[in-house]
Amino acid sequence: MSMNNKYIIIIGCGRLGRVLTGRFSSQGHSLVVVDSNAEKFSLLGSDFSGFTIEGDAIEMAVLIQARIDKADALLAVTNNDNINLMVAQVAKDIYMVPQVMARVYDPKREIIYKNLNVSTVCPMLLAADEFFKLGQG
Amino acid sequence: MHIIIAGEGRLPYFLSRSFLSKGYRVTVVMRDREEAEKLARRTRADIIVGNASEPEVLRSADAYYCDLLVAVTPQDEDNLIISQLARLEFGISKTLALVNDPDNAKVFQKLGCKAISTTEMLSGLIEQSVQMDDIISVLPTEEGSILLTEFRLNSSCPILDMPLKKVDRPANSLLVSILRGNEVIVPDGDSVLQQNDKILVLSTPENHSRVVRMITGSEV
Repeated sequence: MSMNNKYIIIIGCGRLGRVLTGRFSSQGHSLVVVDSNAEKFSLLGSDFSGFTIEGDAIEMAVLIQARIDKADALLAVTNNDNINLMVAQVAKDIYMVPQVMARVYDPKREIIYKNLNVSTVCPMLLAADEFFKLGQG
Repeated sequence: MHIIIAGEGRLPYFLSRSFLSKGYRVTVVMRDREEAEKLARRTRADIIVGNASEPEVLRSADAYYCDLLVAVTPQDEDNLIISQLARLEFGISKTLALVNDPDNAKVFQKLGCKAISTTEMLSGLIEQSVQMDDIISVLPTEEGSILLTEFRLNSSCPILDMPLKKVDRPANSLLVSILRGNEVIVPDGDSVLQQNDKILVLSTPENHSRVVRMITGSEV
């Protein structure tokens, strides 16, 4: 991310979502966090200055409310692979959001969607890479 | 033809029953083991317990040798991903995904996934039946092989004011009676229909839409 102000939508206010909001907030970016469970928002740090939306991210009305058409980036980090993959495709292919990324736990699904040009991160494969490097070194 | 149905609840059961009766090979993939065991006792379909959005599970459902995949889980996101995996990973060209939220029908289409929305289909049917308010009732007899339909004729009826023998009547249809005020008329070729008549028409289901068009001037 460059230093100029970006409008970023984060789908999922779990642990990863909260770490991301913290980091982007501290860099001065504008944030909207979407989660179907409003109680999660109380776990956001006191320095969080963005907006929160309670709702299902696979409902278009919710994404529109989050002004997805104006977003510079969308990060789909719920704990549900299929929600992340669907929202990422909607953002990329329908709303032309310039930067989109989805967390995918299932490595097999991750590879398939990578081939479909959906940017994905598989935490398990990232960890495996690190351990593998350590073992090799 | 080999059909894979991914879903929960009763829908996979009814779908598999209908596909099996047509002689197709059916594999049902569902997550809940208890539900799957119940289903296995009631149908000849192959049952796989697992999450159909995992490629491994689809493989064990013989997805490489599948002609049609139907994704009817209660979650729209699952139905999308299951159909996409079927196409991308297993080369299944025909997939059909259920959308529970009608707004998602367009989204699925834009993402290249054929979708059906039961909500939209139902509301369409209901609208249609409300629009056809000049059809008063349809009474199926002989297990639906004959339909007796009652119409109220309004001014848009194209066959008013002419003798019935001049009317180009669809095959296998018959005007049984005319109710004009309190009078009941058994029609013959010289009878003439008037506005506000109520008429009873016998037809076969195949000819029903032609009969409706003849009498109301509009499509069913």
